Amino acid sequence: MSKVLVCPCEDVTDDDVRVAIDKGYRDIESVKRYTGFGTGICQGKSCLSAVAQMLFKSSKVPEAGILPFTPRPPLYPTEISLLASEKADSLQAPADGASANISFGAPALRSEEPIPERAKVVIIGGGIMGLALAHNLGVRKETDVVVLEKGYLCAGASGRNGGGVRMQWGTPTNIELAKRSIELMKSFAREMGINIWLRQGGYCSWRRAGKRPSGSRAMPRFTTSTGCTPKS
Amino acid sequence: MPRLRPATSSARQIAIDFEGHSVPAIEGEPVACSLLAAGHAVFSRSVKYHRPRGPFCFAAACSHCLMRVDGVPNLYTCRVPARAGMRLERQDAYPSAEHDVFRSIDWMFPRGLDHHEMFAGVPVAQSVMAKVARHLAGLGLLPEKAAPPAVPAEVVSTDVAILGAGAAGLAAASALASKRVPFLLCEQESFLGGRLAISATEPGAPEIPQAGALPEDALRLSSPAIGLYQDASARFAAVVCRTPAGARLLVVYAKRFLIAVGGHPRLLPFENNDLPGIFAGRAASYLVRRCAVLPGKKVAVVGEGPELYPLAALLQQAGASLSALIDLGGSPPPDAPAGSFQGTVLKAHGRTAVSGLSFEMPAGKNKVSCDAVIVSAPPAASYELARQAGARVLFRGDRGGFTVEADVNGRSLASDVFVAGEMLGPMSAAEAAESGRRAAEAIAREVG
Repeated sequence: MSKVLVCPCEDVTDDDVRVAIDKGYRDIESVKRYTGFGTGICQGKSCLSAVAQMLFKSSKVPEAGILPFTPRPPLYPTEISLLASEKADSLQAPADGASANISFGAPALRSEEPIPERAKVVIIGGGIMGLALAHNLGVRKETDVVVLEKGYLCAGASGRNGGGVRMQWGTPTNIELAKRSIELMKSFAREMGINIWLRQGGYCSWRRAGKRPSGSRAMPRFTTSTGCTPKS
Repeated sequence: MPRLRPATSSARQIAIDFEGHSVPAIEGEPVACSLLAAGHAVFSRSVKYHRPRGPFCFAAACSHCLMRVDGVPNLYTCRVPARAGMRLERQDAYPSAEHDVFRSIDWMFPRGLDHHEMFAGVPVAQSVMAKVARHLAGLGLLPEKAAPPAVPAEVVSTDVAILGAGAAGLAAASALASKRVPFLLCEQESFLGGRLAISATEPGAPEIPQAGALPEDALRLSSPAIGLYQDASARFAAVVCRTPAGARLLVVYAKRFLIAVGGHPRLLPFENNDLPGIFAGRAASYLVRRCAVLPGKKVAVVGEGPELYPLAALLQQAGASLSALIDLGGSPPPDAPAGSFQGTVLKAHGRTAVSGLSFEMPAGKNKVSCDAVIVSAPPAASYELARQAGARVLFRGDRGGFTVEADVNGRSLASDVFVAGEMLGPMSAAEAAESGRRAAEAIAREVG
């Protein structure tokens, strides 16, 4: 079937990118997260400039609003054993992909509409916390809400998590919150019309024999008392 | 695709195993090239729609030529040298990559498959889809056996690390050598020259120096830089040196870094732009110049920029017939070959390999038959290493993509990191060399 491929590694077509732009995604990071382009084995070498061109030609994004996504080393597929061949203690954490002198979130993409002078609720931060608050206020018919975000939505940890969920935590409150979250995730697709691909396959943590850092001894007991069943 | 000349007496003819079939090869050539020369077009199937794919870039910058080699999954066959008896297998297809039943996904979803909303919240369908997708997803299967332990990393310190031995990197190396500034030049390919060695000859392009012209121990071939890191003491480049004996990590500390790694081949947007038989321009010239293999007997060349017409001429001289040349940038010059048009490309035709090309020109639509489509466009700057180091990367609509911001000497926003060549935007080989020389002069003044 005829298709115009933009990102052949992940089979993302120009239609997929166009849909994302039409949905209101304006920066490359957000288009990447929505379509999955640039997440394949070539890491964006063959698709990034094509998507940048599409955003540019859409006339919806000024030139200065088109920033590349953060490159992640290794630049070419590399055996993990090679990366581990340098003495670990001499390798510090890698320098941050975006150094302090690079703005994250293009200022050029900021809304030109004036920010309302007053609102009943002002939420500072458009990550998962801020957006969930805004959504739930909306569900409860409170719509006089303003969310302020310096970059793009979920630009920080919310959009960069590994996608794993678990219930074993160190405090009963945390466990209770995790249980409630997983209940929410189960009904998320039905309520929001968006698949989140929830799959519960268990969660495993282990430690070296004889080494029991403080707190971990108590975890199984907590977990059991809150209704989760750990296996050993 | 035909070999252009019989193997020279020094070339060793060997046989490799391709899914149980013996395929002739020349020892040391990229094994993707051996398969092409033996007439194989389909190298892999795409992850979602299982569309057939064949090698496109010959630069480790796409995913089309990935195969399982001697039990190790997901290797770029454009990077793997042919070795007698090696086993090649295609991945993620049933019953075979040649005839893959999962291609039906491509037909079932002509408008694409939206994983966000498809069956979202539909109780049974949603979980069935999740199960099916989970089984189909992924790239390759786990390796047959554990990887051998890696050789300990080598750590070197030098004044200047030059990454990339193309026109810019070589000019910089020559300039530093003449001033006796110590440097280490790391090149991804097994040969010097970058575009000078693989693309169609440009007028005014500099000569490639002999390897002996550079100081001893100043050159590492088959050694791509994979990242620029920083530890408590200084910045260093992580480089992977690949030798026949195995791979080794090279950690290069330097006072200054000159990044001249060029750009990545671009995919142009037209229907079925991923069919086997569609090659990047520099991949096609690489095949002709370095491997003596013709990418097709009847080729259509499309694109824009200074390499377009020299590339068509190179392919014709090598014996290919030109079925069309589509200039996306403007009207063809008076000395353009017959069959050159200004136009836009609409669609590549073919089931498992390209068999024709449709395009639109001022006079109307046209379709030609061909067995290869060569896409020649100025490459997209490989900004990654510079950006990791803290350089600013800007989108320039007039230059066709991203460019690394630098001052007149190539210094980026990170004061110890310089850039040269096509990372600054599309430019001729002579201009790239000049930018490399200028950066080297500035660096020499600082470290001397």
